[in-house]
Amino acid sequence: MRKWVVLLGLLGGGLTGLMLVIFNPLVNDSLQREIVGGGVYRYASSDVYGMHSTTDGLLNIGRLLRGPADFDEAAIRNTVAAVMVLRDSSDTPVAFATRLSASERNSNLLFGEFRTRSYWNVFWPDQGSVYMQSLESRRELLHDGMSSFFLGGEPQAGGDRYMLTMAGEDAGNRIVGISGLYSSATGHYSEVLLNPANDPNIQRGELQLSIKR
Amino acid sequence: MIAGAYFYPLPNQLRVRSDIGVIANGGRTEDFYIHLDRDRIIQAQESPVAAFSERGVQAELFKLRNTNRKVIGLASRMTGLIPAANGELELAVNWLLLLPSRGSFVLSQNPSPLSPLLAEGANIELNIKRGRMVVGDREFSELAGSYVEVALSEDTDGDGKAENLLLLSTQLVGGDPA
Repeated sequence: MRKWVVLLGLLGGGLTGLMLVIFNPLVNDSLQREIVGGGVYRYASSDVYGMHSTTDGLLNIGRLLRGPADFDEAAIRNTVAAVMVLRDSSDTPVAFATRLSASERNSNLLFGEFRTRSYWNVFWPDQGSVYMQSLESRRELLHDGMSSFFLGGEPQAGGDRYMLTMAGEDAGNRIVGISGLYSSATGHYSEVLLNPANDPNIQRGELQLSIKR
Repeated sequence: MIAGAYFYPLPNQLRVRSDIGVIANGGRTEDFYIHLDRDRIIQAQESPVAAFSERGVQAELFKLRNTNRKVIGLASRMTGLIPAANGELELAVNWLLLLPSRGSFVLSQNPSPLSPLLAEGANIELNIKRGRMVVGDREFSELAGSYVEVALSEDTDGDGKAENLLLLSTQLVGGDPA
């Protein structure tokens, strides 16, 4: 009897600890505010390659549960590469972009850090191009994915909108002009992930750009 | 439990040794290679950028290798038209390089006029294209400089078959603190 009590106590304690780490109310990533106005573009892309961006992928067990990710080489195992077409509010394709991202070095589960660093190259045909970079938080995605899993569903965040881009100087959020009409552009941006649970094979999102040319 | 969470192995980045050469009188060189067949992740010429196909648009993703031909990162190449000072359109090429443990940087090829011959490259005989580093972050944040892009063909496996390679050779120097 005593053994069972000890075992149940250990399991209960472990589970409580895990819940406290993932749902830690004291940890709060500071996220970028949404930018409204003319520079809002939507994307939906199936051309996304690299690590699993599902909850198990964020916890580094995606390879065990879903098999190998797209990249086998150790140096790029935790990266994602994608090509996107950006559409304006009338759903007209106006620009195209590549995004390369990598999980942030030395992220720590205890402090609720599930972060990636993303780099964009956006090209407006016949106009010019910019470079964008920022630190992103996937904490809310993990939080909702785990909640869904504990309630008996898929380990996938079920919300409509997830702001990824972090705020603050450490996030390094910036837009830098590269060429053409945008060669001296500066600014900042936000990225919102849309309906991630709808189809894990298609990544949908919204890019909100604040650019000075 | 707290110790377990602290040491839990979340996705991290492997630091690969940097193959950097030193230039006399300041600066550094670093070469990156792409095996055009093996390292191409996607060439989005038809889809998803088909909407822009008539406007010379191309987006490609590659794996990136160091001089030992070890994969160390990712690269994207975007090609499109931009307006020139004379009002005509010219060809622009952007490289975005990501070395996960070190940072990222952007290379921009010098725009070339759309004359059919010149659009193939600045130096047609040697097929060498030149450009500059525009911006970088982390290890590359304080650097500036230039690069050349050279198309090569060599037998990398020793099987007697030549393979097409791209060499991106960078020459970067630290920014002036003043």
